Formats: sequence, structure tokens, C-alpha cells
Amino acid sequence: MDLQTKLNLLEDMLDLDQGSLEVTTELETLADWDSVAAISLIALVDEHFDKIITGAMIKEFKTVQDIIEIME
Amino acid sequence: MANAVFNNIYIGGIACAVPEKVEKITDYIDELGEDEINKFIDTTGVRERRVVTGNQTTSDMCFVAAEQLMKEKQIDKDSIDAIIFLTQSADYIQPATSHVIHKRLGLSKNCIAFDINLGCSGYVYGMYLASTMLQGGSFRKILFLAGEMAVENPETSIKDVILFGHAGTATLIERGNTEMKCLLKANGEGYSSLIIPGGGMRKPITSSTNFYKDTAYHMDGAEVFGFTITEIPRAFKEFFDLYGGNIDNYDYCVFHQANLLILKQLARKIKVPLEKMPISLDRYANTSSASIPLGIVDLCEREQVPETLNLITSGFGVGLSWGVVSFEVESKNVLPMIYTSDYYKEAFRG
Repeated sequence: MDLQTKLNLLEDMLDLDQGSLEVTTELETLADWDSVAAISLIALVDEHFDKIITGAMIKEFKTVQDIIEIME
Repeated sequence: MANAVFNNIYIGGIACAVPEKVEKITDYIDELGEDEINKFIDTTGVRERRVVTGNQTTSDMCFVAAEQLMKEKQIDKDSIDAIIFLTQSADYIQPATSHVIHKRLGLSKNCIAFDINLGCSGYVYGMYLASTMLQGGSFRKILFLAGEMAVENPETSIKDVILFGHAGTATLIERGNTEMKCLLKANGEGYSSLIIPGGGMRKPITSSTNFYKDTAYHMDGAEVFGFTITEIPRAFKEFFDLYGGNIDNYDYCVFHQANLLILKQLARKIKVPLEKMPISLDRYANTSSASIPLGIVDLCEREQVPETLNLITSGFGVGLSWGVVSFEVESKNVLPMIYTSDYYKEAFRG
């Protein structure tokens, strides 16, 4: 999956307009980055990449790039 | 290991009582805003919930369900050998609330009573335990009550409050000739993922502590979500490896109604067709240990179901604990939903 598709998946998940996320975007600047986003991210990664990420891993994420790196 | 097949049980009845008061999630628009409410409904699937009023407690709802079940199925109260009350919202710190219900139902001194402290996995645990008692002891009829009213607390976030609804259920399990297959698991490593830390012996309430802050409900949603979508599909696989068969052998797969996002993930991973997965949380929210029997009652009311329902059920949550249990129930033994605001007016209040 290419980078743009991954960004689009995250934008869909966070209810953001297409093209609004960049890899350098800091997660804490996103209004919708909350506990619901965390469980949505676990579901998304499980569904598309067949791996389970933990709550502890999510707490360590600072930027969109950190998420992109586990989307393999 | 808690893996077992029981060949000698019969589900004599299932009843569910919920409060008359309905609360709509959109009632919270002023507190959370429209966008947040819409996001909550989309993610959790909860649109309404039933909530107790006045002095009504979990035990009141379970009592009404049990009383109605015994009346409808014409069960002699002296024939009940044990009453088990499973909840995290007991009437008292002591005694066990099962004794209060024992008195209210007028059960005999030969009927034993005890409580179990479990949440969302509770129904499958209770079904297993009752079946072991029927198989191993002199028990013939057991009343298993499971219910919850999540404690509301100003220190708990509104979203953690409105995810949960209140309900009380009664299941009569007796000796017979139908089969129940069970697989139960626990992992204490996750004991603090869902916890009320204060009010027990570890962190007692004293005159200098903040009651609401210390007794607020803590949930690590991401950890619990990850646990559920990992362990429940694994448990289903182990269940089918152990006992044979697959999801096609069952009329319905009744999951604990945690939230819609979890249910969708479980359906996808376990390959449960959506038409075989009853949903009740849209109208009743997450009712913890009551959600499986509530789901069965709701299913029988809303759909044309076969005379004998072959069910596979799964509960998961606090502990952490989880399990998969399959059993048969005749639809004539499933009572319609009961709506009640009754409470025990003569209850001891000190």
C-alpha cells in the first residue's frame, strides 16, 4: 500500500478532508485524535495489515509518520 | 482448564427486565455537542439506553425477571436448589445480594445462595458454573441471575456513562438432555484495564478521601479493544478445534454487546454473517453480563426464530476474562421483555 493510500485511510478514519494530513502532522494538533480514534486505529490496522497494535504503542505516537511506520 | 461439554442440562427459561425509563443519546447534545454525539453513535452503535429511576437497583430488575419466569413457567419455588446472582452492582457490601433475592422470592432453606463478581464475561461464566453444579451435585434446578447498573459518578466521563445501560436477567438451568459446550479463559495481567480502584480494602474510603474520584470507573479502551479482537477470535478457533463444527452449525451467534466497532471486527474475523449476529445495543446500550440473555429475549421478540434455537454465545471483559459457550433453548422458554420501575420498598437501609 502506498503512502497516499495510507494517509487517505487515516483521513477517513478521523473524518478529515482528503489531503489534509501530512506525515509531519503532529497528532496532538488534531481535534479528533482521542480515545475513539485510538480504537478505530487498532481496528484499521488489524483489518488492513493483520496486526494488533496496543494502547501503549499508540500513546507513544507523536506524528502521522509514527502511525504510517506500523502500517506495513 | 475450563473446557467442558455437559450433556445433561436444559434451559428452562430466560427472562429479562429493563427499566421503564428510556434515555436517548441525543439528549446529551448540550454537554457533548452534535458532532461528538454523532461520532459516538456511529462508533458505539448506541442510540438509546434504559436507566433505573429512584431506588431501583440491579437486584430489583433481576428479582422481577426471576419472579415472572417462575410464574410463567409454573416453577415451584421449593424446587429451586441454588440461586446465583452475578453483578458488579450489588445492593450491599455484605451480605451477598443473592440472599436478599432468596428472601424476596421465598426460596427454601435447602436452596443455597451466593454472588459472583464479574462483568461482561459473566453470563458465560455463570452458565458454565451452573452446569458443573447440575452435573456434579444434587442440584436439579438453578436460578442464575445476571444484571448490571453501571455506577454513575460525576468523575466519570459522560461517554463512559452513556455507553452503558441497565438490565437484570434470570435464566433457569435444570437437568435435562440438551448439550452445553464451554470454553472459558482469564488473564489477570489485565486486571487494571477495567477497574474501580477505590472503596475496597486496597484503597479504602475515609473521611479525607474524595469518594467520587476514588470510585470512578477507569477503562483503558484501547487495551480492552485490542484484547477483545485478539482473544475472542482465538477462543472461537480453539472452541471449534476442541469440539468440532463451525459457525454454520448455529442459528445465531450472540456476542456480549460491547460496542458496534468491536462487534463488526469480531464478525469479520470470526466470519459470522451479519444476519446471524443479533444487535440489541442500539436500544439497550452495553448492559454488561445481562447483554447476552437480553439479546436472546430481544431476538425472540423481533424475529421469526426456530422452535429450538441453537446458540453460540461469547462474553468478554473485566478481569480480563472471556469465554465461548454454546447451548440450545426452546423459544417458548424465552419470555417477552419486561419493563419495570419496581424496587424493594422494605429493603434494609440501616
